[in-house]
Amino acid sequence: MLERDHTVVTINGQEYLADPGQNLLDLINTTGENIPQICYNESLGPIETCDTCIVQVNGELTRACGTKVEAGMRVQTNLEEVHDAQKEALDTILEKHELYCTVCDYNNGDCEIHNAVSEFGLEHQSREFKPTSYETDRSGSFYRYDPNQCILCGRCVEACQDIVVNETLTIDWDRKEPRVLWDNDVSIDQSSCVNCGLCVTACPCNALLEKDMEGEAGYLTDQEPGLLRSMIDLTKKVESGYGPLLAVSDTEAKMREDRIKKTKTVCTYCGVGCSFDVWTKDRQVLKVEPHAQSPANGIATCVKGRFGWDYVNSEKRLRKPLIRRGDHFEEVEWDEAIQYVAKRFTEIKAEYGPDALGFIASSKATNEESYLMQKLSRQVIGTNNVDNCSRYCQSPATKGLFRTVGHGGDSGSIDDIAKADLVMTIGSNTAESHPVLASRIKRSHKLFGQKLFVFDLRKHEMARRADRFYEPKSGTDLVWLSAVTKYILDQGWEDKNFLDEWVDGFDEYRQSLEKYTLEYAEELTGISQEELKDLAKEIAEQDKVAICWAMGVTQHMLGSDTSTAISNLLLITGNYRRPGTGAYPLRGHNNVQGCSDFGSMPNYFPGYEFVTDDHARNRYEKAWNVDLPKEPGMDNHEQIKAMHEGKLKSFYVKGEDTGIVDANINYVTAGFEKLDFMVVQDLFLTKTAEYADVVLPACASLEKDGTFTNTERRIQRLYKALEPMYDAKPDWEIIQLIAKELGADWGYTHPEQIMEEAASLAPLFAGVSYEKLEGFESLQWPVHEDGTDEPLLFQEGFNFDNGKAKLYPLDFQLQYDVTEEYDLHINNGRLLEHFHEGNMTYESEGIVRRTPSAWVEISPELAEERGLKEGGEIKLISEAGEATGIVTITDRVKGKELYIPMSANGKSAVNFLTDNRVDKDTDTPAYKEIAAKLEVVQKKGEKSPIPPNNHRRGNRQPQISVQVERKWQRDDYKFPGSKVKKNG
Amino acid sequence: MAKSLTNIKRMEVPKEVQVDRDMEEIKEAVSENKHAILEGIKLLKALDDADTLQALYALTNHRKDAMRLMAKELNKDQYSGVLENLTGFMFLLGELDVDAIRNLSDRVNRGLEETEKEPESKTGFMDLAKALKDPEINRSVTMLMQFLKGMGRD
Repeated sequence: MLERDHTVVTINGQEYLADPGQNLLDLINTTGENIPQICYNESLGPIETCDTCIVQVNGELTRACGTKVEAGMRVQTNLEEVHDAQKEALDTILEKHELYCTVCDYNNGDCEIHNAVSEFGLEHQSREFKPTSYETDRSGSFYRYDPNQCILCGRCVEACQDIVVNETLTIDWDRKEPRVLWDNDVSIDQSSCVNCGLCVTACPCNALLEKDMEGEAGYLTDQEPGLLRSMIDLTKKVESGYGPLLAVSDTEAKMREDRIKKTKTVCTYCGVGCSFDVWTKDRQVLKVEPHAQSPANGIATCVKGRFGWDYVNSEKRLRKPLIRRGDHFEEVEWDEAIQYVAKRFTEIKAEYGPDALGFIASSKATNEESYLMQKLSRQVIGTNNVDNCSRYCQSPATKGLFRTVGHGGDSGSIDDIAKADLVMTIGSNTAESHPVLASRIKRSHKLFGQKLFVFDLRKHEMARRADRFYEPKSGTDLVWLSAVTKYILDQGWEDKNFLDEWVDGFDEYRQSLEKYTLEYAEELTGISQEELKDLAKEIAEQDKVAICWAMGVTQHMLGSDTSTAISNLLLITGNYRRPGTGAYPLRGHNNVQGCSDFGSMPNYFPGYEFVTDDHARNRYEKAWNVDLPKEPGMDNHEQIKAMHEGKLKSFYVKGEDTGIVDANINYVTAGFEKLDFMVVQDLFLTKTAEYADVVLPACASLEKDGTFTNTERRIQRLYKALEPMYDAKPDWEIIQLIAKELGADWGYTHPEQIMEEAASLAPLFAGVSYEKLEGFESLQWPVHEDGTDEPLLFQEGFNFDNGKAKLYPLDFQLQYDVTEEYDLHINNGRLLEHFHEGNMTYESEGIVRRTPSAWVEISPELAEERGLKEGGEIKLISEAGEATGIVTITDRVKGKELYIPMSANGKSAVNFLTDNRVDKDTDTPAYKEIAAKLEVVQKKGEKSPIPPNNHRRGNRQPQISVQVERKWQRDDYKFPGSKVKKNG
Repeated sequence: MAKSLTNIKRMEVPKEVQVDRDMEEIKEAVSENKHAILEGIKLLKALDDADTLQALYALTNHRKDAMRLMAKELNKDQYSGVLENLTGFMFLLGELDVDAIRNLSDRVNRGLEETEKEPESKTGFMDLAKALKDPEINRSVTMLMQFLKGMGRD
């Protein structure tokens, strides 16, 4: 038998088996030995700044966290000299950090300095606390830095440089009093800090603290500064010696548990699906704390998830149901509103039939709520006219994957993207749209040699970081993808074994590629033949390739075909079925994946079974005790068209501002005006709600239970943290009330029962249960009956009858271009800090003060040509409509391409310009295909639309880690181990 | 033919209706917590009888002033000895042999009881010598001498 690859290490005389190369501190932590380790955090790895984990290794005192195990290593952790060295290190830390725990807002049981001192049994401070000459920096929106509590462990720097890779924080080890710096020593507010808040989570103490926690967390912390100072002094006098101090503060910390509620939730913004605990005190959100075991995000999240919760308590929220009466809305009680909705639904169904009613579910709401929306539509009304907003963004990606591999979701997890040798992003502004996922790529790229190729019109952050940045002409990705695939085949670089074993349709596909020669691709895409050849070689040579794409691919007339071309390329090169490979359509909303998964689509039941499939339909008919419509219904886009044609009379939309986010909004709102009856369910009186007959006040995600499914197909639970505000109700309750009034008494008392029903009917979710999703647990569908899931898809074969993937032949015709009159290409997308159209994030004062409004990005060349200066105003006119905006001049865009963030609202809304063009296969609007002309309203303005304190104006300071070597080189630094030896 | 609207006519709940609703909610809560509330009333009465209720009320109202004054006062040098002694006392208490002290104080009490009685007559030297034969007196004197010995030990 082969010897297992293990290393034997002796700790305090006992032998332990370690993994080769394992970190010694990790090993010690598994043995039950307790040694202090303040700067060490598993999510960050060893940074070796605090010296508290000193142990004796083979007779020498050394930092355990900086040591890798070796065979035969002898380790002592209980010797007196070890204890003395650790004490010396702790004493040094306590020179920088004053222990006044009882009146500290960080005294919540998880202060790592407090706990280390307590566990070590340190009774007295041998050297006095020495404050620095620096003031606390409270210039930022969301957190403050207190240099007088900072122990310079550098965890914040490690987090900023190498985990989120925003590269704002450093420690200047060379000055007399070292401190953490923002950029090149500017205030927090003026820096490149994006307020992701990871540094605050990484901080082991109260040096970095959320402003919302200040004066709120403790019973005795809400005091004026002078008084707080006296109380700190007093605390230290009364609690002389650490023992009593820690005992009193531990008691106080326990008391806090009574009034601070910590609830696990899942972020309601993008599709990454960050999970975290939200700390609330009454309705106040004190802080958001992700955990190492948060499956998608670890300890990271972005500014929106961390600090963007003000909208939940906004006074603009709807208070009661509204009914349109004459020239105004009138607040009514729930009974009246529900009865009215049911009556109108019944009347319209009686007069025009069930297909005159349309239903739109929300990709912001839960899976259970999507399930109920389609159940209401199908079971109670009897129509398949039910859809969701993935139609606006993601349906083409799903289509492309269904054609080729059979499952419409990411092939693996975010971990797989991080593991890839080569990551290609196509039409994805990842750093702003999926910040936490982007950080994983940025980290692998910065530290682990991952290659990054970016394809985009705009030179955004990922493009700047990329090894290669390609700018194919808008809408031509299909061409270069196919040309590169053809070239790989021409050179014989394809993965032959993989194709033989796992792929069907090769010959036909091979033939279909004939037209995609390098010459043709160069002509259409603008990428040179040399570059294309080189690209093909790189892709073929790399072992593990992952391709991420987003709206830059899907929101085109050939969105589905381009998504298909991506999958074809991956199949030809064998980049499926292995860790670190695969196709990753990056989902935009928190639950855009789940909303489609759970059946709010005109052609699918939950779990993507066709409504035309008799077998599946019979199952639902039996369960719901009703005959179901056999034909697919109308999607989003078709429903709007049907309003204009007078075929759709009633429209019920929840959690979706169709009147802003759909393309060609003039046309959409004109459609609303033609309806007989319209119901909108939302938190706010949105633009769409303004057209409604009944507006129903819904709950925010923090106010309800349920599940979301992120871009990794990962189902995660959210727990109710707050009671509903005003008279709002969760969507599932509202839908159930309407169903009941219409005669269907579902009788759910908790979303868990809805999930049980969905799992019992949809084979894709057969093994899903709330029990298996407890806390931070999650499941990545398909989930089999026995409860096992599939983090990496297609292990047992592709999702077709014979288990083989299908190559899918594609044609290409260029259908969109700028014209002589409409000579500019208008691009649009998200900003990091404002989500989507911004109706939630504009409620956050801290976000708005750094990003008060949107803008129009124009290139320096175009600005020069049109005589425009920063802050000037322009009007853009397309064939569909016009919009005005304030310009910023930037090299993020070039030539005649302009960029408008989607958070632009009012007259700047980009969807005044978009028209009715759609992806031919899925009806997804071609938002990215707008040609417009420009009129100058005002050549220059008083100020730039991007304020001086916006992070885009910051000045990043990239470096690897915290550079602790520079600390060790200081004259006043002495390794505690050598100090102890000398004294002894 | 619905046009876009933004004005909302708020529902005005008449005050009486709101009061009724609130009362209903309170009544329910009272009924659910009957025992605790009755006990609470007893506590309030006791506090009130002792005038503590008023004092607590005033102190709560002025808690910030009180806190400031206290912190300021207690931070004065003259208290630092007291404050530091507080924890010292804690440790002292921990070191005392409570059983022994209890035993001793029992005896002292019994002695005090005896002194309450009218003395029979004046005590002369011979009486003293005779008294030493009394086992109770002898035990006391021996204990006292031992105590003196222990106290004098370095």
